[in-house]
Amino acid sequence: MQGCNVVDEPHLVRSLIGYVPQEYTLYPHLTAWEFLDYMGTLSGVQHICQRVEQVLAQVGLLTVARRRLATFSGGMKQRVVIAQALLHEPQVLVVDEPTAGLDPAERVKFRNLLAELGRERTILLSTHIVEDISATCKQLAILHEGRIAFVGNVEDLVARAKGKVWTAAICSEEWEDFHRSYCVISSRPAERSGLIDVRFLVLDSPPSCNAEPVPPTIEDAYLSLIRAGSS
Amino acid sequence: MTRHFQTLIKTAYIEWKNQVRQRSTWMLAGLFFLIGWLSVDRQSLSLLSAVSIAKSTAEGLGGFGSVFAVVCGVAGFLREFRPTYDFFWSRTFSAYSYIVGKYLGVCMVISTALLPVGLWVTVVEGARHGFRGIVTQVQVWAFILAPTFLSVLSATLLIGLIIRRSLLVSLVMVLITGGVLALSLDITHLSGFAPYSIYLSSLIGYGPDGRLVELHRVFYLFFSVCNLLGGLLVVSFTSPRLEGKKEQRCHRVAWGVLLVVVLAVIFYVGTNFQRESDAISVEPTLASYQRGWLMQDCSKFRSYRVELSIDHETGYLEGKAYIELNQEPSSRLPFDLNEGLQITKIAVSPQDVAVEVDQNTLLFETAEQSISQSISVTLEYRGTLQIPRYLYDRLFRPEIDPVVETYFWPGGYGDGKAVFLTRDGNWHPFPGCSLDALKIELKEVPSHSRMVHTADNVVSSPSHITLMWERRPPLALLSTSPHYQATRLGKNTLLMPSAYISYNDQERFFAPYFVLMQQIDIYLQQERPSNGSFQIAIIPLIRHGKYDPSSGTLFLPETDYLPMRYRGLSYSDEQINSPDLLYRRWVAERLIRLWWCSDDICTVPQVASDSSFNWLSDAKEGGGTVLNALLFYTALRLSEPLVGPEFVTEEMNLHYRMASGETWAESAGLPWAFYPTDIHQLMVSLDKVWEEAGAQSFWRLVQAYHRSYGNMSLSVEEFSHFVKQMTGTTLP
Repeated sequence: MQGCNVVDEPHLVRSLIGYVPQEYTLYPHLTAWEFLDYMGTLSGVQHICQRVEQVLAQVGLLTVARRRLATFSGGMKQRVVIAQALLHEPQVLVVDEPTAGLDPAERVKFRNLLAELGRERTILLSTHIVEDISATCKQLAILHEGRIAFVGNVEDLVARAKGKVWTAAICSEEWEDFHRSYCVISSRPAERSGLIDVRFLVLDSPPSCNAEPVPPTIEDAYLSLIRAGSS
Repeated sequence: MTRHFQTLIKTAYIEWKNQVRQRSTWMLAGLFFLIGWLSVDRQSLSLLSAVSIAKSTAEGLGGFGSVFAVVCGVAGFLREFRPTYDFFWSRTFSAYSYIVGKYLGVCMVISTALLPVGLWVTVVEGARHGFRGIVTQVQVWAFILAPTFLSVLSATLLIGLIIRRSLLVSLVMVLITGGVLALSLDITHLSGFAPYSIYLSSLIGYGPDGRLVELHRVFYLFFSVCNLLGGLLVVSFTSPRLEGKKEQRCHRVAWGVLLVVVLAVIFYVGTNFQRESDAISVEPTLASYQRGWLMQDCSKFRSYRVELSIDHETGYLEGKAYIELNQEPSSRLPFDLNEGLQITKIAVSPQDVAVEVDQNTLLFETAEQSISQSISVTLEYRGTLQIPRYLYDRLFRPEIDPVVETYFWPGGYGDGKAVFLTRDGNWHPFPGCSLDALKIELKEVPSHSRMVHTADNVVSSPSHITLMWERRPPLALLSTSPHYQATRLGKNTLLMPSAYISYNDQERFFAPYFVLMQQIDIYLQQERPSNGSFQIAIIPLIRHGKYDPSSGTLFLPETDYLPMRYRGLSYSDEQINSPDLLYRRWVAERLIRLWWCSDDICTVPQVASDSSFNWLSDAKEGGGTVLNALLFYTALRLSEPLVGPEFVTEEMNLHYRMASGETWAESAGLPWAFYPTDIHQLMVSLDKVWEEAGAQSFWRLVQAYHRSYGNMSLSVEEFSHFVKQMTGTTLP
């Protein structure tokens, strides 16, 4: 990374990255300011007060900087964690499942924040929530069974699934057989009673039933890729 | 370097801040307060010396408090090692600075938790002893608590870094702490690690001597450093790697080398500690010292006179001992001269008597044909007295030090520059024998305020002062003091004059026997507690027991110094069940036995707490019945001037009733109720002899018995015959 050997020089690599873990416990009895001040000291940040103020402003917590972390909501805590990762101005930000557990409004805010941060640095976002990816990422990689299954942009990934996603309305009696034959992505009761609308994946030949192809989403593309990898 | 330092300081500060804002820290402070509160005998608080208060609270906190400190330490040390603190390890910083900072932070938390109890003790010390008391508290606390907590926390840190599981670490630390206590390693209770608790430490007051305490504390300080270095080494292997391979290798080598160095220091300190401890164990202990005294055969002495010249400034002493001895063809005369004094010349008259010194014994050889009536020996010796390390042998007061109040030990007086004020001590060769006369000439006259003496005559001149003792001391140097240390003994409180007596109190310190009695009486009247238990103070003062019947003077040996008895409370004979009855009675008991017996040979009545009454073991020779009965009755009669005839009559009435088989007194808990019936019967018989033959005849009988049989107990028939022979009275 940036010419540093990750194995031999982990200390140098650490100064280049900021890390936002999926699970964390903050110091509940410290204020946001104190916490960031301490993290900044550990990271060897110069002019630490200014920097803490900057990141707090950046994550929108400046007004609550003197409140103890124990009083913060989940989203606010997440932003504090982002702030601590930004303190030393890392070139790469590693974000692990940042929106897990957040309500939709907070999630949207957080995506916007990530998008904003991504203008100045590389953000490595690890997530299982594909909407986050389509909303924030230019490039993505898919890891499957420890191997990179795909590297590219979102459009390329979606393009790969073109023609493989179908929908059909099937009788409820046929459901068991259908489910066994195809990779069902989603299903829901149809407007006509006794029928089920099914969205499914077909990797090779078109389905034999009365189905129609539909444009794939990123989630469809992901499943298609994983399915193909497994088969 | 600056960054490392910043990391260290900030980590310490944040740890402190984070924990201080938690309720658990203040619960810990409450626990500390409770421990400190319970460590002090609050009922006697106003009587305790500064060092006593400081020491007891420090020992309590160091012992029980360290267990709670472990919990606090575990919480702090292991927090960032939880998986949920990964963000912490994603940055670049010195893990070593962080670890040291963490350690400092937890130490700061413990210090903060100690603040409330510390302030309380400060208030108590300040109110009781003024500023000096506060200084004493700070010093004693620093000396006892700092190494204790530092070592406990460092051990927690090391084990925590190895195990990384809070509960397990706490459990291991509790086991270790328990083990330390079980193995008597005495991390805090310093007075316990010396084989004999008879030392005065200039650092912690009463306890092992100063050097041993210093080594003990230094040992634990280095133990802390060792743990800390071990922790750094462990971190270099187990924590996320925050440095390059090369730096990591360098650091490991550095910590390893430092660890080896510290281990070497620990080994050195530990070895020295052991050597000191062994030295205390093998050097003359109380018993062997007493044996040395008992070996002195004073029966050969016809007269014994000593003249000393002392340079007060340098402490240099020149002495001449004039001894007149009964002459025998060959004889040995063990002597006991202070280690710092050397015999320089021996002159003997008649001149055909050969004399030589074999270690601590004078050997005399006289030709058969030239045996005369007596030998005159003049021993010249000189040197500077070495202040002994033993409490019982500490005739001289050490330099005033900042921690302990100046203490005065009975039987002698002095500081680094010796000044002699009593006649007994091993600054003359036969301290076990009575002096006919002692003349001390001090070349430099010490200031009057520092003079306490019992000399019969004092002659002062501008250049020197002469103290002269021409007869046996008329006054017992019993100690009394406004400062007492209280000790619980069963349901009662036993008060002892504090070992730490300031200059200001010295005037009140020496008191003749009757003055002491009066003071204790006054004290008891004024301070008698309402709960039925009583307080009484008595301290034996000089190191060999003597009794002068002509003056009614009691000399209790220093060997009876009460704390020594606390090693086995069940054998204590100091418990007195009634201030009105037993105190003087007990003194009389002690008195007669000391006069009569060679201390460890005679039986000693022991009044134990509750019903475990094990006082009466047989005398080594004979069955003990006659001797004990004679001793008890003699003691009772001897105490008559002190307790009054009514008291004697009352007690004898009890013996009459017990002799006739009544057992009610047993349930009343009176100690003599447990005497065997034949002793009661013999006491009744002796009372009748007293009535018939009169006091003078009775005392002649006692003296003759002592002279003829010593501590041997005759059979009743033999004794009856002896009584008839001596008094003309038939033993009923």
